[in-house]
Amino acid sequence: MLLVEKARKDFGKVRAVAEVSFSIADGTTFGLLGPNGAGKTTTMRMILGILTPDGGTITWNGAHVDARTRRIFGYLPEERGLYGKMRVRDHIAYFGRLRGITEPEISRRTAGWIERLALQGYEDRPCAELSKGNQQKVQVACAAVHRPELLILDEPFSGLDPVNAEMLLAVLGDLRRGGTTLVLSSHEMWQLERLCTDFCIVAEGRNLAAGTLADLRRGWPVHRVRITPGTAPVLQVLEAIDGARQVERDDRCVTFDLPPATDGSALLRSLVAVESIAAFEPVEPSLRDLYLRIIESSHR
Amino acid sequence: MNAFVTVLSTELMRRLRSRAFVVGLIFGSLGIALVTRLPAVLASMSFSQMHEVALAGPAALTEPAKALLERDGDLDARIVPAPAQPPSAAMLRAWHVGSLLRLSRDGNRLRVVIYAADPSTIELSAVRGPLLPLDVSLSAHRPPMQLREDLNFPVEVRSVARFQNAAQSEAAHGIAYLLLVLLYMLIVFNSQLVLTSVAEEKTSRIAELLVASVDLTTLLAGKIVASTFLAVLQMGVWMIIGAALSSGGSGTSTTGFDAASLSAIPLATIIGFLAFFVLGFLQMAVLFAGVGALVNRTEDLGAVSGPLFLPVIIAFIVAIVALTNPDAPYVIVGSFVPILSPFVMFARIAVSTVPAAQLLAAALIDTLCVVLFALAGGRLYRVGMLLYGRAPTLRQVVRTIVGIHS
Repeated sequence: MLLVEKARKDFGKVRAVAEVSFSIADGTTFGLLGPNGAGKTTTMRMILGILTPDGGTITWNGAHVDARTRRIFGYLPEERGLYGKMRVRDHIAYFGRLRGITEPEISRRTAGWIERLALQGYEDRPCAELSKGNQQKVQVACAAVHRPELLILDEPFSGLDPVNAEMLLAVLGDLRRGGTTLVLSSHEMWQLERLCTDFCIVAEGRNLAAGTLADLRRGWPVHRVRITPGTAPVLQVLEAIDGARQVERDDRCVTFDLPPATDGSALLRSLVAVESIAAFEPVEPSLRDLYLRIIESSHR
Repeated sequence: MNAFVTVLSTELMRRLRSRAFVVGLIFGSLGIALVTRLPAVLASMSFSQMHEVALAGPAALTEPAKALLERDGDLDARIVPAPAQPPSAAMLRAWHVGSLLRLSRDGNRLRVVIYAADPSTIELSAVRGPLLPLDVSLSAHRPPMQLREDLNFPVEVRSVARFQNAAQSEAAHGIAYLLLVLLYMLIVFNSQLVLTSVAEEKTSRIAELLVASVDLTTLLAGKIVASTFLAVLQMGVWMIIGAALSSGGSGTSTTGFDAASLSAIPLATIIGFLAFFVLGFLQMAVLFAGVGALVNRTEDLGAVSGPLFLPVIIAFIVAIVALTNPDAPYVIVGSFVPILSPFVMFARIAVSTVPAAQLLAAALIDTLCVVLFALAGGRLYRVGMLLYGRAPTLRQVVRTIVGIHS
């Protein structure tokens, strides 16, 4: 288990991380969300031991992170880079060797990653000759070639085309099934929502919310419903509710946010009385909705 | 304004305002000033001692000899008590002279024995010419034909150092000079490679992936040790090629000494060369690694490496001068100053007998400096490798080196 308790980091007079806390159980896929400059990368660097926290504690399975622990961690930084003149195969093998994997295992794993990431045909080419997407795939292989127990990925989807993003999602799914604990930071909310089981939203170096998607939804202040058809009589009924707000409307249906105290049964009776209702569906807020609301409310 | 002028003016202003340009300009100017003035200053210091000689012998000879040498020889002569034994190098240093002229009378002729710390610096004509009147004054009642032969009165040069004659001394100086050039090239070239390698990792943004994969100290140490091995390999290749070229053709190299001279390089010189090469390279390599980690753009490399090469250039110049005057006080002091030491002490080892205590002290100081530079360079490296997008201020660099960084 990774435990981050009141982690703090200052750079001179700038407080990059004020107080961040969360725990990640083994095998969890964890999404670390926040706007630019929220302290996500600094938090990740502290977890990896690249930066030393100025306050708080970070432990992995009860022990402080040290050089030995770091060997079982993997990291894909936001700032991407490769040795341009080094061949793809050598690059992946180099990072495997840095983590203590020796021959013949390293050759086997390197070949496995080249195949898994569809890099066949590029393995003997210098990294500089690869496209940006393929370079990113090489970096993923470098970060995971040693089968880390904890893999931290900072914006892993940025710069990937949809096909490669899907491939990466599949690879991360495989790693999760293999028991790797994943920590991801991304602005691609739909991908995080598909992949992650737990989340932490940070802003200005502080936790704003943490938990599963269900936990985050519990804090959602409104109930969202989608009603078909979205005709004028239906709108009249909905607009009569104190605190109700129209979210969207199209030719077919209308979506409204209703106050939590709204009696759903009474509402449905009123709607049926004025219109032939084809569908009355509660709509769960997406991760993106939750994120935007949480960030917005933190600014108030 | 057309595009070319726009680009030109913008680029000019951007470069002019960049810190790299300003730093390069200031240090470059200082460097040029130093490099221009240093040889003259050092040469004047070394000549002042080369021209100081001691005279020993009967007062009837030393008194007029002193006057003649000072008047016609442009030498600063001082009369000292005649030592019972041939003088040692330490005695010459104590008298602050480069040589002792022992004067005696051989029948009706003058006899001069010069005990020199470095026989290669002695010009017989500079002694024989001014002392000729003294020799002539001793040779009364001799036929004119014999006088002509006696114009070349006997002047013998003996060494009080390790070289027994001028030929040996010149060969040693030649070899030392070549090795010094080699030392300079190896250190400068390989330190530059360390700098480029670190900067490449920084600018290609692979640094963070590396930092997460391996301990930074290990990364730095691996880089430095690998560079040291490469440098030694390079040195071996250069030396083999140099020896091969020297032994080719007529057997005489363009530097004036033959392959036999190269093969007869004393073991002490070789050990000293290797030891001070490693110490000098390590000092520079860790500093360059630290500075390289601060670079965000490869075009800034020249500006940051310039100031660091300056002390190496100065060290090289001092060492070249030290070849002709290895016991000068400033040379002795220089052989204990970090960065200068590997060059200057090696020059002293190559052409003189350096007391073991001084050798040990210099090696100890250099080793200590390697450790200190590694700590400072390592700190810069650790901080610099993760510092993207902006160059650190001088204050930040100093705070990092003294360990007050976040």
